[in-house]
Amino acid sequence: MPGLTPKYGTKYMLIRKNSLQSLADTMSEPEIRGRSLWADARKRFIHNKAAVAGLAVLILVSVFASFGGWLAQYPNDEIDFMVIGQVAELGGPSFANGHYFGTDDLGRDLFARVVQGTQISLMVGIVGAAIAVVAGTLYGAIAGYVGGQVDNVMMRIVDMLMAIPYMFVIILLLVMFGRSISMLFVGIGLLSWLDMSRIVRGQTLSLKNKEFIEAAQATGVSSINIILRHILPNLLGVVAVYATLLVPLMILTESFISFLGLGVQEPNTSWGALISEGAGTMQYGTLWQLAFPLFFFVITLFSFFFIGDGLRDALDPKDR
Amino acid sequence: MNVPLLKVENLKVSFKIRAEGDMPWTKPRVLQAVGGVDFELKQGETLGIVGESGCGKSTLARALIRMVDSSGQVVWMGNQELLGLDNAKMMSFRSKIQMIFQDPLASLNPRMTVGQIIAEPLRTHQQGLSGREVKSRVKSVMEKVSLLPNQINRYPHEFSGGQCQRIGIARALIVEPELIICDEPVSALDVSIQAQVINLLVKLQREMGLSLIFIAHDLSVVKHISHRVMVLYLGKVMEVADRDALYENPLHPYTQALISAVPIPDPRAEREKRAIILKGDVPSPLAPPSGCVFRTRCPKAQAICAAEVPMLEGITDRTSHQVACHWV
Repeated sequence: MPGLTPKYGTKYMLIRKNSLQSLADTMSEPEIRGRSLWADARKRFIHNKAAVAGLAVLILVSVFASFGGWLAQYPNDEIDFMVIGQVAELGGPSFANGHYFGTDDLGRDLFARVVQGTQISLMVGIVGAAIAVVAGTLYGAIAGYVGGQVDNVMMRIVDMLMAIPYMFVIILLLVMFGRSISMLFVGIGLLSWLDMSRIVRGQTLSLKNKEFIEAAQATGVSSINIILRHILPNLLGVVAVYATLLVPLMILTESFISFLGLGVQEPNTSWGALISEGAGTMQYGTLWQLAFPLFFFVITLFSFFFIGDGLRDALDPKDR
Repeated sequence: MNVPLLKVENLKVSFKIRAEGDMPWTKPRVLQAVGGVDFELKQGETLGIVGESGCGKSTLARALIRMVDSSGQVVWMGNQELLGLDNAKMMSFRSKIQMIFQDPLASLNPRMTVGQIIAEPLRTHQQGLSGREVKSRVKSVMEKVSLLPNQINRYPHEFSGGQCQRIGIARALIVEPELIICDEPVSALDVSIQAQVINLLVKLQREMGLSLIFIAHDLSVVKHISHRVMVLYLGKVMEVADRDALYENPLHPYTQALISAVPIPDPRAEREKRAIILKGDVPSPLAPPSGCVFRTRCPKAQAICAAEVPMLEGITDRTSHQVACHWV
């Protein structure tokens, strides 16, 4: 028995010494980088195979749009007089004559045309969605945060604009002010932010009553800083998801307008215009004129939708 | 030192309630959340505020920092009235009065690091500070609330409830306030963590000479931390007294019922105890009873209670013990 006490004592001391040592180690460790909610979301996104595949396809399409022009053997507006008049027989896709995707009905190189169409369609989609994101987010966040009568007036304006059939407005704008890409941007941008502002306002209303907003108000942070520092970063998840779903919608709208013949004008082109031309010459046996633009159109839309789905699952794991 | 840090007189808060489907011209109903509260808070003192849910405790706290509109007077250090100030002049007082919230995790922005959260009041009130100075202030205040300073870049969801509440306390402390309003700071925490947080608050109060307004519905917690205790019922003060006087000699029937309901951590004593059970529910604040608001549930209620509102008055031998009851 007497021998037990010192033994126990030293052991106890040892444990104490160890824990003190580990405490000292923790105290002197360098600053730990925390894992933000963004980092968590990124991890979940990477584990989503469909979304990652979509992202890869989208990157390939962008690379094609940016650098495809270097591979093209012909400029996009040059008519190849060798094939003109016999497009169905000589204008098919071939590596021998350099028309990788064949030629269009006028004998222009379809590869160069698809590169150009991809550039314009992606630009329309991204710029249209960007206008929607910036305008819609700010408008919705302000309406939701300020609340009361301001909110009422701002949202009724949105309701009124939404009541206008927007395809009609775009067509009217293009007919009245001439058909140009910039007018197309104006028309799409004018109306695309409405949905976004509604979604953002709803989110802001639910965020506004959180205690961390109250804490910021109590300490005297200005409204503009509360919106920028506290509301917007917490909205970004929803906005990112909606924006990725908005890009294909914009592309679809532009394609539809171009399909009607009101969108981009020659010598410019877009997926919609190319598909329209291809569809017009289907019965003459030049199916490639429809197939190539349609292929790029479909895979891009699919990958945007997969990315949007993946982002939603990654950013809001509870909401599956 | 006789000037109280905060002197509140006849503070009233009312909300206009519109029912769903009301026409724009119908008169909204008025909900009197706080109905004329007076109290004084001395420097370095803790005032505990207790009462049932919905009796106006949190609204009272929010009125003091002007988060809700109110009438009456809130006098700072005997010479500065706060409720009438414009927003720019109020800013300097916002750094002197800080607040701690109930839900520790919800009161921290999930997208910001701990360092950014704690630094926010500092960045708002002392905008000239360099990034390095802000960081060193944040680290020193984190040490003060026993958080490891190397966790400055972590995010709130990586901390436990008690740690989150300490982040909230650090955020309140960084601007060196004179008064901290604690709105049920421990209600959402485990009992063992409650003790940690409360002891931390007591320690900080002693070190920094802080005054605290401590809102809770747990009477034993309030007993542990407060110097004075105020009992609210339906937005009115029922009784204010020094802690020991209130707990040992409660005079108002409501206070008596509340204190008799506190569980005693001894099964034998608990079995012997006679709790005063109040009948019925708290009346709706939209239609409070006439006279004394407590009369509908009071065992002593008589005709006079319905007719006259009892004044909050000091009892004869000690003026610091004030009761609003006709029968004291």
